[in-house]
Amino acid sequence: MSTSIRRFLPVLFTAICLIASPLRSFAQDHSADIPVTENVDDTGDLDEHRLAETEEEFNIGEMIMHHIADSHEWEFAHGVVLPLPVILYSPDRGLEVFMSSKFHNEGHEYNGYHLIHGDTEAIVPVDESRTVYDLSITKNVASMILSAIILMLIFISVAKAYQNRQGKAPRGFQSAMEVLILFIRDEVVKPNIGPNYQKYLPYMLTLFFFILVNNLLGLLPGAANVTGNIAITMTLAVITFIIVHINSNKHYWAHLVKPTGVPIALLPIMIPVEIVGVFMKPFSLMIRLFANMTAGHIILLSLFGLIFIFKSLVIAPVISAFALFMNFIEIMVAFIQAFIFTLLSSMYIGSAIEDNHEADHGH
Amino acid sequence: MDESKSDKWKETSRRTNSYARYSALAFQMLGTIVLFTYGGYKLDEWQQNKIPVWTLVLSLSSIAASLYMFIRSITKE
Amino acid sequence: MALLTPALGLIFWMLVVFLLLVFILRAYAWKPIINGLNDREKEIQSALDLAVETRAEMAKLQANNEKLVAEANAARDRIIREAKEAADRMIADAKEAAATAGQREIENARETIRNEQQAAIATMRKEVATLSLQIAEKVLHRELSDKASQEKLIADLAATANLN
Repeated sequence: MSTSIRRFLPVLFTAICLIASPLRSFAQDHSADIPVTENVDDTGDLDEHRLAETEEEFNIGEMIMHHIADSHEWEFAHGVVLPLPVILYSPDRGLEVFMSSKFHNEGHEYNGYHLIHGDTEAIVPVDESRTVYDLSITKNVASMILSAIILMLIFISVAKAYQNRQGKAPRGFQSAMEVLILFIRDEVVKPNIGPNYQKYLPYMLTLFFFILVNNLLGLLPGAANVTGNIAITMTLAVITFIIVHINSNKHYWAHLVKPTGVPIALLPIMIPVEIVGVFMKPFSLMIRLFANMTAGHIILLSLFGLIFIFKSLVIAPVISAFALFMNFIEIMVAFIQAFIFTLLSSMYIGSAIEDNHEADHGH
Repeated sequence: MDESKSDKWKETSRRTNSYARYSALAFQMLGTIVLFTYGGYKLDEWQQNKIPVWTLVLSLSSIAASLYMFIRSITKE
Repeated sequence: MALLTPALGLIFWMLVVFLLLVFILRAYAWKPIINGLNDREKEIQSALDLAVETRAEMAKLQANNEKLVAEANAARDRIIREAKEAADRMIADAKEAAATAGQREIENARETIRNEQQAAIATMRKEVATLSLQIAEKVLHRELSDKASQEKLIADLAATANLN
């Protein structure tokens, strides 16, 4: 019984991903359609219009996009906004730093910049010809720094506990973390990377806990969707890619140019496929985490959005119960995705550094 | 009791393990096909072919190749 | 598609924060934690090894003890057996010695008795002879002094001799 449920879960996650993409396009359709048709005449004061709109007519697509996208300010709840620093670099003006609260609304111009609330937020210069690099501490960056601080506090204190209680049994929080650390070391890194796993263990542990903490933080109300952001997952995947190719041995490269056990006739097509595969691995890492986390957020937000669409007291408890259930699943997904990212990264590294590549194709 | 618990834990991790591996394979297959087809499409666009030869050849061969890779990687265990 | 376009600033900060995190955690967290774990595992392993060793030693000791006890028992049995044998032998010897001594005593006694007897018999014989001689002397003495009785005796003797 429980086995079938467990077997069902991966299917469910895949289903969530699949469901999510039509939902997202649906959401985008709405955000594209309704505001545009209504805002054609007064583009000047979009922000106030948005405010008025939320009171008049609830737009679920816009709400969802607003929550899963990055932002230059941190809105904890409606109206409770923490302004974040905006850092801009342009070749002509150099570094510019100011708070995001300087932008009052869409039409407001500060220092020659507009803050555009489109599909995603962007700071655009009034002078279109200038190139500006936006290095702002956005909501995602702030949340990421917060998670980094949390991780440092947790693990440095755990490390202290190890030093203070040398050789003794773990206690309290230390033992909770130890279970995870040992799991990553013994079940994920050691079997997949092989005997030289020690070198990669710090990176793998950091990777796992960084993704996990950000996944879990993202589930809190009002929090940022860090691991559901393609830039974050891309950076993680690229770091893994670089680590793999710095440490890969000659077997790995040889396998790329001449895959073992492949007929000569197939080589012209197999070599490009293998080379594409090299880039597909980090790409799949990037997409998987991004899609899972974003899809989870979209589902949760859609459920909550339904309450506002139906505007019914009867439907609210049902949806809340379902949302609670989804939240539990999301907590599981948070762990599983962190685990899978770490697992696939270590398998990826393991395949690049293993000595005997022939053993891999034991025909 | 403790042993059965750790067994269950191992079992779950093994399942997730194979889920991860197969989903990685699927991703690789999908990505290969999409990339090759897109490349063929672009080539056809560039050469302004009436019949999308490159799209057809590259998409079909990438499907065949990725299927071949998939079968090889699941039978090598 | 804005969701699928990575933002430059985010990538930059992500790289900075994440790489810093990796290096800081590696130096101040993972190293002590992993060392602590390894140390503890080693300690536990050595404790387990020690336990196994101790158990083996205990078993060896026990076996030794048992051997000692068995040896002691065997020695005790042997000593008792030997003592018993010695005692038996001594008793037998004593009995034998006593028997031979008794025999000799009896022999001696017999010898003495026999000698005494013979001596007694010899003296008695001598006494009887002397006595008889004395009697004969006395009788002869008396008979010869009395003529009548002498004659009578001669007659008696002659009478018996006649019969022969």
